[in-house]
Amino acid sequence: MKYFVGIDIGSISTKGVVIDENNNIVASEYIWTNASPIEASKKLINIFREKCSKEILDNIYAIGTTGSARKLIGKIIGATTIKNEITAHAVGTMSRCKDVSTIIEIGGQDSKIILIKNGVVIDYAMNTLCAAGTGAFLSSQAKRLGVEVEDIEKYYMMSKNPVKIAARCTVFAESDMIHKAQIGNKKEDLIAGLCNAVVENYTNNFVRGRNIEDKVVFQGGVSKNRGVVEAFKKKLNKEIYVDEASHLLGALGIAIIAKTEARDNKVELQLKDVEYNIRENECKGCSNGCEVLYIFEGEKLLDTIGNRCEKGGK
Amino acid sequence: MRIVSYPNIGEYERVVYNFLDRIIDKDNCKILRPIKNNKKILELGEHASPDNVCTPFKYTIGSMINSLENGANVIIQLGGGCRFGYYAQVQEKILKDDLNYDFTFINLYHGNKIDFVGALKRIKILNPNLSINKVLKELYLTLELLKFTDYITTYIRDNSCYVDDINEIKKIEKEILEDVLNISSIKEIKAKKEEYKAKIDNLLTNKEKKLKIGIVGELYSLMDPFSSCYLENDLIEKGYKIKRYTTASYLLLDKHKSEKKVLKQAQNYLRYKIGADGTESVAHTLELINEGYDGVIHIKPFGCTPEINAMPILKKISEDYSFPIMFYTFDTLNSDTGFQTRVEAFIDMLEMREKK
Repeated sequence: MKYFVGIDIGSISTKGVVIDENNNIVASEYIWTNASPIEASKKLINIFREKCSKEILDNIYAIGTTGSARKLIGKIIGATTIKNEITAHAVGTMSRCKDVSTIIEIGGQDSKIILIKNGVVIDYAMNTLCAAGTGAFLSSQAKRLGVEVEDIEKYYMMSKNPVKIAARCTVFAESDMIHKAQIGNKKEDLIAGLCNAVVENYTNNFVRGRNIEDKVVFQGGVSKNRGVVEAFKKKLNKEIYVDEASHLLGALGIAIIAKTEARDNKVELQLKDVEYNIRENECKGCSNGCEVLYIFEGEKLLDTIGNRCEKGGK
Repeated sequence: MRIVSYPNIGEYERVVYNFLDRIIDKDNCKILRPIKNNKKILELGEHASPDNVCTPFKYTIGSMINSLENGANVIIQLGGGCRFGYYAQVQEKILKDDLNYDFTFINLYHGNKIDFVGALKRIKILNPNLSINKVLKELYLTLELLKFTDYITTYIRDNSCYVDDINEIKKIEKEILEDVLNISSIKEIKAKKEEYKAKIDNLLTNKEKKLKIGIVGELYSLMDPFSSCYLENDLIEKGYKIKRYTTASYLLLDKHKSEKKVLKQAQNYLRYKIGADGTESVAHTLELINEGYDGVIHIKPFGCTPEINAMPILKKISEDYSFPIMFYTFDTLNSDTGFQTRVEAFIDMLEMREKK
């Protein structure tokens, strides 16, 4: 049996899966990125090396990376496939759910919508410039209210009268929420209002002018939050499906893409125990001043990102 | 000693240099070629500009500041059909009143037309003995040179996907751009055109079918590689066939002639012009659909009103023809990762559709 690895290095969390030839997940892991993608990937790989049997580790044929740190981590671990998270999510979801038409994805710093018709992506959109209405917003506001993210669901269910919170912008939403708290609204109503605000923000940004058709699949870290799922159900008036691996579908997708692009040689899943230094420098080759990212493995220059000509990257 | 400079867009600075080099009085006047746009230029421009102004304003004023800092004391600027028409006036005010630069500002435009008589008068400070005949003669050559540059770079752009080694064609492009600085007669232009076309034709050996992507939108983002995160170059390097209509010679020489044609092409969606190149974005997208292109990428800088006008119409077209169009707005962004992610996903989507 051949095995394939997919790693999705997101802004908040790093996800990894190992799949077999039939796309079954044989191992998976979900850890925090903590703003240090290299450390997180090291940790993730070490966990896999402990968790997986020798049979699996010796028969890995491809490694794919996706997520916002895909290029950096891809170069460091020698990934065979490096692809954007939009494609990875679409492929991952379609492998689990053949008849999906709409994918709603809300992660730590971004949110996207992917529309699928007959197994082909026909439209997608991703939030630009601003992270309003994403996981980061939910978790920071929950912290302000002294509520664990995991408990949001419980509070949502308790709420009888959710407050209305402006959804367009996180900064306004926050001042709105403080105001509502100061005039004595209950905590559960505030939290329910927050969940609704995330959904409002999402529909304002993405749903406008698009046809949401069944089947709707909701994924990404925020989909684990039943409060937001319920709010989506109410808003879209549709059944919302959440896969049990909804937080891993990006990693699953990239593993499947890596599988289709795999060659006949084995690769090793390993991150050397050396210090990786990243330096972002302006290239001095000409007046263009390209920003080049130099990746050093110890003292040795491993690779560069952002180099545009033969003069640079030295 | 007068040192003359001008803001840059793409590689067109070379054509301007060629023109100025032939008309200035070389004993009393020097040309300072503007550097290509880069982060530093953008930063300089950002500091000097009002926050909400469109991005090309920031690039051009940044380029001027950079030249002034390097010794220029005469600056030439153009104008155009949208907010661009007021760039010169506002930039002159900012540079002189806010930043206290002491220099001569030559604005070649009045309203949104070239003010020829006034321009001639003003340009005389570069060479007091300049006669109208000389200017007309050199201007004719420059326009031919501009047409040549656009012809050959468009030819390269349209055909790069059929070349086996992309570096070969890039080498030729470099040679051409070096030549642009020195060409001095119509005869030379004709000879070079033949020579380079033959050289390029020799390289076109790859006959595979390629994904075809059109690029439409605002002129500055289209023609200046840095301001669109090198979109065109990246697509060419990945081997896709790309098409863009907007070039300087189109804007200066052909645009006014083809106004009626463009409006007719877009007649199902537009009854009148929507300013600057907005109408073209719509008409050209329809043309690309007819020509069997796989997708269109629409780019614009932040705050570009004509292209904002075009966007809802393009969305309607995308629905009507179920044709993929990607939109992106550039501002003074420092990281192009987000843009690349979207382009990559867009191309994946086109490839998936192609396979089905």
